[in-house]
Parts: sequence; structure tokens; C-alpha cells
Amino acid sequence: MSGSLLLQRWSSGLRDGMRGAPVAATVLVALFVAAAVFAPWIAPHNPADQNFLASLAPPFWAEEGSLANLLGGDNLGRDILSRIIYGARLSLIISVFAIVLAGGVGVLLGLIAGYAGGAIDALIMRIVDAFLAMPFILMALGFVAALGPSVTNIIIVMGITNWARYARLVRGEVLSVKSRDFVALARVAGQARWRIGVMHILPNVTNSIIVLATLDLGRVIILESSLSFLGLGVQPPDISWGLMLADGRAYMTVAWWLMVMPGLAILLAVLSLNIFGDWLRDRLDPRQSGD
Amino acid sequence: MAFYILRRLGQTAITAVFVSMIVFALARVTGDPTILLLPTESTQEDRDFFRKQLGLDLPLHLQYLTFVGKVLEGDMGQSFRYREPALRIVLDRLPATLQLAAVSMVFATTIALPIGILAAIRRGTWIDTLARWFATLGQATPTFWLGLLLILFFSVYLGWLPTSGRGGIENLILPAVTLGWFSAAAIARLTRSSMLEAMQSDFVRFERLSGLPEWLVVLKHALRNAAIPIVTYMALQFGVLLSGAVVTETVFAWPGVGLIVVDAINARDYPVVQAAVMVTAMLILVLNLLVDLLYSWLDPRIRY
Repeated sequence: MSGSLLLQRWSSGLRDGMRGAPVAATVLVALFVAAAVFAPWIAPHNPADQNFLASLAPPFWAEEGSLANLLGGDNLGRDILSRIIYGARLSLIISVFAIVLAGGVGVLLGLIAGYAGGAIDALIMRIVDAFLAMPFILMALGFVAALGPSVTNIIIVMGITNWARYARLVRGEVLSVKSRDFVALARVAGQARWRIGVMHILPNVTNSIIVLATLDLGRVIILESSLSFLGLGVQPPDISWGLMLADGRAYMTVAWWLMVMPGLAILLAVLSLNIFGDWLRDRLDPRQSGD
Repeated sequence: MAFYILRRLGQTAITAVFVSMIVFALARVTGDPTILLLPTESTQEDRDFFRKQLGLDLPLHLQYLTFVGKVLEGDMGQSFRYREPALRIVLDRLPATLQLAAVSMVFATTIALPIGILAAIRRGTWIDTLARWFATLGQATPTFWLGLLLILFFSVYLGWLPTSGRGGIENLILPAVTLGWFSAAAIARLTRSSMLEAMQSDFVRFERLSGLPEWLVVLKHALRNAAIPIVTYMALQFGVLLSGAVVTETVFAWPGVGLIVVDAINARDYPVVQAAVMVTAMLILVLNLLVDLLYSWLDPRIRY
């Protein structure tokens, strides 16, 4: 095969470089969820077990690495891979519940605002503006610090700080759907207002909500790990990627994998969720697509 | 136009009221400050006296009004730790945060615009693929992790740049790259899609048919058409940078608002936390207002 042909193949491979991405991302998302759900069966070690021999043990490909601790051990000799697998649990639990909460509040208020119009709409939208203007991490930090850092409180705070975009999205969709014929028909047919809202308008905004929620999962994972990294999120002995990273920071110069591995886990989880979300958007909600 | 400006001003004022309510809520959920302020051996009478002095015995709406009144006078309470006005402590640190955010913005724009424009011109080529991967990766990278990786590589391994603190330009590089990374990815993505849209507009097609050189069409006409959403988005990203600075500042011990907030939270110095949230929120609010006004001035077709 001539060199130029090779180069051509190579560059066309790159050109298709993102075509396979949604498939890979879907697989990664599935792996992430599986790790979270089946952690006790998948993890090679108990994530809390301390093994002095594995203290700061390097990953398996390094010279002194072994297959016993595939991604190495942390300062207390706990298996990093097992802790990453268990860490997926809290990441997933917190982000899913937080988004259900944020989405629930946001969708409800958005429906009310879009449907009621007038003063109620204006009032709700100013509150939305206020929440969107709040410095996100600072507000979350403040509330978590005030309420105390427990998993429940982190979920509540993430819900409080994230609902506004759902409200704005749903309100916009309601306004555009409201004027369409089938809604007008339903009204003429004498259906109750709430019934029109739930039966006719909500189904039309579901796709946009699903897309926003998928993309938000990644955002909340990063936000939670940031809080945990700052010591104001998940508390030990619970396992969180952000917390692992914060612990690993002190050993960064002697054992880089303590800090790099959990960061890689966050990156891969968020990356695959984002790619998956973009793909969903192209399929379900082409109007919002970036292309 | 004048009506629009007035309406936006009014909206911003109402939003500011809600922001103050959120900050007030933040102040109230922290619980009884007398427990923190008074020594443990103080009696119930001491506490009641102190609560009265702080106005905590009043009904909630009166407490809120007192709070707003004080805020308008620039009084956001005393720092428990430094015995200084909380607002002053925050304002003292604000220049460092603004500097970091501004340099991050410059960094983000400098790499995002060329990447976004190139990707749009060479749509579907490997350049476009690389650019899209850059945007996708950038938006998935946790800031604190990127910061630590940069420290590990450039400070520890290569020994080129300092790991922390504020001083000369060498202190700014790593924090600015860390903070600006996410925005660079976001702006590159938007630039690409805005440019694609602009280049498909009839106007640009006509310019191209009329025989203008391609680079002139792209830089002068397409970019100008794409500029409004990009500039607006950049301004909004600045708000994101201000808020995101808290993590970056902690990683690099950059002495800005974010670092003092984390310190204050750990020391349960809540007035400083509230002042910081308030000041940052108000900055973002004003920024959003300016962006909207600028937008309507740049593009008179837009009416709300």
C-alpha cells in the first residue's frame, strides 16, 4: 500500500473520528452504571481493606506493579480500582437523584409559568434569573456548609442549584406549543387546564427534558466531585472520586496514580455522558442541536 | 429602545431582590449564630440577649428587611474571624479573582476562536474532528484534576512554573489555563456552529460568488455575522469563570474570593461566605444586563 493511500485512509479514519463515538460512549455509560449497581460483585477487593504490602503500589503495567492491584494501591494500601468502582455508586446516586429533584421542581414551575402567563410567569422567571445569576459552586458550597455535608444534603443542594434551567426550558416549550392547533382544540373541547398541561403539553417537551437531564448528569458529577474535592461533599468513609483525588493530592509527586486514576474516572464518565447526550439531542431534539 | 432599557433595568432590579433573598436564606439555614459566637459556658440569658441584639427574635420578614437595609448600606456583617466588615474582606480579594478570570478569558478566546473558525472552514476534515474532540474533552475535564495534572507536569516534573501563589506572570499561567480550559472548549464549540451558520447565509454565498478571496469572505464577512452570538456567549462565560474560580484558586492557592470562601467555610465564618456569594452574584447580574443591552444595540432586529 503506498504511503499516500495510507495517509488518506488514516485521515478519513480521523474524519469519521466522532462517528463511532456515540457507540463507545453508550458502552462506557453502561459500564459506569453497571459498576455502580454491581460494585460488590465486580470489585476485586473490599474497597476499605487496608493492605500494607499494597501501600502506594503502582498500576499493573509498571515495573513493580502486580495484577493483584490493577490500578495500584493508595497510601493505606486500599485497591484503587475497587474504590473507583464503588465511587461510581455515589456519583450515580447523587447525580440521578439531584436531577430528578431539579427536573421535578423546574418542570413544574416551568409548566406553571408558561401556562399561567402574566404576573405569575414574570415572577417565576425573575426567580429563575436570580438562580441562574447565582455563582453556582459558591452557592452550593455555602448551602452544603450550612446544612452539613451529608449525601442527602448534597442531593438537596444540587437540586436547589440546578432547577432553573429546566423551568426556563419547559416554559419556552410551553409557550411555543400552547399556540398550536391541537392545544387550542383541546381547549375548545372544554378540557381542564391542568389536563391540557399534563396530557398535551408535557409529552411535547419530554424529549428536550431528557436531553437536558442527560447532559446535566455530567455537570452534576463534576460539581459533586468538586465539592468532595474541597472537603465539603461526600465524607469518609464513603467513597467518592473527588475525595479520592483530594486524598491522592498529597502523594502526587511519589505516586501520581492516586490522583490521576480517579480524575480519569470522572473524565470518562462525564465525557461518555456528554457524547451520549449530544447524540440523544441529535436524534430526539434536532432543533437544539449544535450542528 | 429606551423602553427596552428601562424594562431590562426593572427586571434586573427584581432579580437582584430574589438574589438577596437567596443569600438571606443562606444566612438563615446556617442556624443560630449565637452558638458559634458565644463561648460554650454562656447562659440562656446571654444567648437571648445576643439574639435580641442581632434582631434574631424578630419575625422572618422583618429580619429580611433589616438584612436588605444593611446590605444597601454596604454592611454585610462582621467576619467572625477577622473582626472586620465581611464585605471589605471580599472586596479586598476581588481584584485577584477578576485578574485571574480576565486572563483565563483571554487564554480561552485566543485558542477557541482560531479552533472554532478553522473547524468551520474545514468542516468534515480531520481538523474539524480534532476541534470537536477538543471541545468535547474540554467540557468533560474536572477543573481541579486538570490543575493538578498541570502542576505535576509543568511544576514538579519540568520545574518550569511555580505551583502556587500570586506574583508575576509565571504564577498566572497554570491557573489561567486551568480555569479557562472549560470556557475555551465551550467557546470553540459555539464559534464553530455560529461560523457554519454564517457561512451558509445568502450574504456570504453572494460575497463568495462575487469573487472575493476566500480568506476575506471568512474573516471579514462570515466572522462579522457570527460575532454577535460569540461575543454574547463570551460575556456569559465570564460569569462562569468568576464562579468557577473557587476551585482553581484552591488548587493553586491563588488569593482571591474563592480561596477566602473555602477558608471561611472551614472556619464557619458565614458572613464572609454570604458577602462573597452576594458580590459575585451581583457582578454576574450586572454583566448579564450589559450583555443584553449590548446585544440589542448590536442587533436592532432583536426585540423582546
